Formats: sequence, C-alpha cells, structure tokens
Amino acid sequence: MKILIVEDNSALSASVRDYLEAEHFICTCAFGVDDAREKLSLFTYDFVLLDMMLPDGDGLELLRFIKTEKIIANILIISARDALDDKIKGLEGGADDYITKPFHLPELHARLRAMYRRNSLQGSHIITANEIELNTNTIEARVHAVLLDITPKEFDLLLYFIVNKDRVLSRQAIATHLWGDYTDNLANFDFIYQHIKNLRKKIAAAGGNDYIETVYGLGYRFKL
Amino acid sequence: MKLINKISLWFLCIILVITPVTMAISHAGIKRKMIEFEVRRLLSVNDRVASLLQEGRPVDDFIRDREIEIATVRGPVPATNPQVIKRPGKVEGMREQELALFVASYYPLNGIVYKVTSHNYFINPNEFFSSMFITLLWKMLLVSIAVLISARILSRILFRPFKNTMEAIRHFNIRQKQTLQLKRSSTREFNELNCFIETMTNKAMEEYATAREFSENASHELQTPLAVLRTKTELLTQTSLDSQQAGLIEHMQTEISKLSNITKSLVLLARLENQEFNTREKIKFCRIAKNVIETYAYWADLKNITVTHNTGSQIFISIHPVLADILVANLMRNAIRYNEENGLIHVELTADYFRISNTGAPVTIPHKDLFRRFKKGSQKNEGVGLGLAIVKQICEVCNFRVSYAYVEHRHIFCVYFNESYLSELDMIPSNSSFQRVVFAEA
Repeated sequence: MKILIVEDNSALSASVRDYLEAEHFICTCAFGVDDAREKLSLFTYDFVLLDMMLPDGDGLELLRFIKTEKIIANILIISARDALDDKIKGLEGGADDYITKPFHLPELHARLRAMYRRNSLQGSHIITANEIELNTNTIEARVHAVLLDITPKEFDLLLYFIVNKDRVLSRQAIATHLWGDYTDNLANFDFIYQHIKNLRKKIAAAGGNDYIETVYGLGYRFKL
Repeated sequence: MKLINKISLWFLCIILVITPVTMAISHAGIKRKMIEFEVRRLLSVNDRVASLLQEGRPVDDFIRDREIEIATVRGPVPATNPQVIKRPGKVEGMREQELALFVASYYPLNGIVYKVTSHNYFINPNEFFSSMFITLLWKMLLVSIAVLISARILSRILFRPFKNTMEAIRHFNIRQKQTLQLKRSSTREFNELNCFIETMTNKAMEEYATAREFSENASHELQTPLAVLRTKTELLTQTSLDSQQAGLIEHMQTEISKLSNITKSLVLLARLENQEFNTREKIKFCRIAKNVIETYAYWADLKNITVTHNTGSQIFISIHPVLADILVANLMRNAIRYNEENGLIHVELTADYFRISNTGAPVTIPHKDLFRRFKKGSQKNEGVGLGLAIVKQICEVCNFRVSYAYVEHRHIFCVYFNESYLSELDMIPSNSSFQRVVFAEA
C-alpha cells in the first residue's frame, strides 16, 4: 500500500515512515503543499497523511486540490489543533479521519487500516491471526470458530493488538485508543492490565493461545 | 467621602470664617460713620450758635428745643477744639443705655471765649450688633443650605459624564472583543480622562490578545515536537531493550503525555477565553452526561468506587456539546481521583443543576483556590491541576455558576444552569459548617 506523508517536520515524518514501512507500506514524504501537489499529480497513493499546518500553505488547500482533481485516496488529517472546527472543516472537505498531535504510531497505523477496510473494495472485513478471527462489520470475534462473548471495548482492544501485531503497545497508547480524550490527565493506567486480563481469560476459555505478552515496563505485545 | 461633599465642606468652612469677619468690619464701619455723622451735625449746630452769638442776635429761640449749653471760658481756647466726649448715658423712660455724645466747641468772639456744648443721645451701636448677629446666623444657614442643595444638583449634572465613564469601565471585560467607547462630554477634564481610559483599555486589549494568541500558538507549536518525542520513544520500544532502559522510556512517555495534556488544556482555556465556542444551541445534556458517567464508571469500578446517578431525562441546556462532555468528564475524573478505596460517587442532574458528590479526605488548600490553574487539592502527583480551571472557564462561558462544598466527608461540586435557581437557594439559611464557594461569571 502506498502512502504519501505530507508533514513539514522531517523528524516526525521519519518516525511515521519508519513505523509504516515495517508494516509494509510504501512511503513517500512531502514537506510542503507544492511538493505534495506535484507528487499527487504524478503518482497514485492509497493513503495521504496530511498535516494541517504547512510552511507554504494550509492542509485544507491540499484537501481541496485532491477533491477537485478527483484523486482517490484515503485521507487522514494530522493536526496540532484538537478542537472541533478543524475536524469538521477537514471532514467536510473530504478527509476520512482525523488524528491529533502528539499521536501514537500504533494508533495512526490502526486508523489507516480501519480507513482501508471501510473505504476500499479490496478491504476485507475479516481479520485473522491464526485461530482468532475478527469481523469488523459485525464486531464479532471467534476463536476456532467459536464466538467469543466480549465487550465492544475488548473487541477493539483485540483488533488493535492484531493490527499492530509484534509491536510493543504502551498502556497509554492502548488507553488513548480505547477511550480517547477521556484518558487525558489519567496518570495511572493500571486499569489496562485488568482489561487485558479479562480478554486473555476469554480467549483462553475458547481454547485460544495467549498471544498477548507483557513487556516489562513498556506495555504489551501481541506476538504471533 | 464624596468629592462634592468635600468641596461643599470646604466652601462652608470658608463661609463660616469669612462672614463673621465681614460682619465685624461692617459693624465697626457703621459705628464709626454714625458717630462721625452725629459729631458733624452737632458741630454745625455749635457753629450756628456761634454765628448767632457773633452777630449779636438772640440765641434763645434757636437753643430752646435743643440741648445746648453756652458758657464763657476764661483763658485761651483749649488745644483740642472741638472736644468730643462719648459716654453711655441713661435717658429717662428708656430701658437700654444710650450713647451720649457731647461736642464742645470753643469760639473766641469779641475777646470772650464761648464754650458751646451740644449733646445728643442716640442708639448705642453695640445694641444693633445683636441683630446683626442674628442676620449673620440666618445668612450662614441659608448659604449653607443653598450650597448643599446646589452641590447635590450640580454634582448630578456635572459628574454625569464621570459616572458614565465609571459605569463603562465597570462593564468592561478585557476578554470580550469589544473596545471601550466613551461618550464625549463638554468638560475638558472628563474628555481627557475618557481619552486616556480609551487608549489604556485598547492597549490592554491588544496586549491581552497578543498574550492569548501567543499561548495558543505556543501550545500548538509544542504539539509537533511532542509528537516527534512520542513517536521516537515508541520506535525505541520496538527495539530490544533491557528492563532498565524500558523503565526509563516509560517515564519519558508518561511525562510526554503530561506535557501534551498541559498544552491541550491551555489551548482549551485560551479558546474558551476567546469565546470560540457557540453555546447558544440547546443540547440534550442528560445524554452526554450519561455517556461520560458510564465511561468513567468503568475506572471508578477498578478503584471499587460505587457510582450512583440520578439523572433526569429530556434535559436541554445551552452549551456546546464538546464543552458539556469536557465539563462532566473533568468533574467525574476529579471525583474518582480524590476518592478513597470503596468510596462513593453520586451524580444528580436536573434542569437546574448538575451535582456530583464523592467521598474523600478534605482538601488542604483554601476552597477558593481549587478552581485556580495548577492548584491541586492534594500533592498526590496525579493530574496537572487544570481540570477544575477548565470547569470554571466553561461555566463562565456558558453563564453557569459552579460551587464547591465539603459537607459530611463529601466533596460536592455543583453546576447551576440558571441564576434564578441559585438566588432562590441563597435565600435558604445554610448550615454554618456548610462552606460554599460560588464562582460568579467574570
């Protein structure tokens, strides 16, 4: 999958590229509006990661360009502004999703995957990891074809793990993914442990393997 | 003391001093004039007698009805001629003593020195001093009354522009984008004052806008470096690390989150101060509150805190939906954070107020400081101390009031949606231990 990263901060751009390339994305970086416009005219991308504030213009400008040129791509906006007007402006302008700085890389990846599942015809609604099978349309999880009795949050957590498999997910990243801004200012993320314990128990009860491993001091990893 | 009263008082003091002095001067003047006039009259009478004597005509006719004595004096004419003698004298049938004035003139006529003495009684000038004194008192009384009344009326007219200016300043809010416009008056001093105040407030507003813009921009600019830091530490966690390194990274990540939360909160505060949110729209507050409560009930449960709520339905409140969410979330988070193991949280929502009470140890800082930025109820190193500041700011923007009280081992935060309800509540005499702090809108 090809992605155009439009972000003027090269360090951030490099971080995103590093993470996504390991997830088998083909990444191209653009550092300004003109640069991005040129690349969008010449090549096709599955995804465009769009920073709102660019040195030579506004991200929204580029968004309008994408729409008027009828370029087909999943657009994820990155903005330093967390409040709504930008979000609404961006989404009305044709962006598919929105993520605020400072974001977690696994979160960014999960959002891209979710967008792809939603928007692309090739995108499958079934995600599998060995014996575990998730249907993102019906929000059902099966282990060895046995339906798990899990809450939507647990489903979300499992999906997050599988999308970011073999990656260390910090408790903060998990909390932010599941509860968004509600976890702001929470200093204690011990509740994640509880959550994961429940999920493990349910998978084990259905005869699944325990793929979730604790990485000391850092968080958890879904290791296949 | 009012300025006009001060001026009136000064004026009255001056009148009280000057009027008696002028009275004394005029009294002395009148007295002198009276005597002078009388002396002159008696002298002319004497002269007339002398001329009659000189001409050798009989004087009996002339002096019959007058009190004139004619005598011959041996020796020369005295050095002082005429001699004036004043002495108070009693006239028969008169109660008050009168002033007797004797004027003796010496005329050397045909070798003989005649002494012609005429005298007259007239009212002692000291007698009419008392009536002058009464007039003086009346005068002072009337002038004082006139000064006081006219001062009242004048102050109302003259000080009207000043009062208008003061009223305008009272209603001036630096957070609102309206500049101060003052009416011109016909008094130069007031115009100068108005010009000065307008310039000053405009400058203050400019400075405030710059500061606000700066804090908002700075907070935004911080997000990108924070994103870099966060993503770099995340990439670092994907490498193989020993437990010591992992611990270090975790600390870094926690602090990055904290920094990010602070900047996000500061941006929100700045935007609230900027009145960037539309709070006119009525939204279903009960639904948002329920959602938030349910979300937080999960975390409360982990701390073994029981959450009960009594939320009415169909409660529509004028507030921006996101602000409603933040308002309830911040209060809920607070209620969980400053709670104890196996504690309680009770939430109540009616059309008039949203109240959240929770068990917990009393706060160590003064209640009024709770809503200030970066003030924390306890030094437990959680949170950044902006949650309640945001709550207060949201309430200000939406014209709500927020109060805090600690009653019977419970923290109670209450947001009043309408002021009339709050004023009704104030009518009820409250328990003395009920320490309530209400924050008015700015």
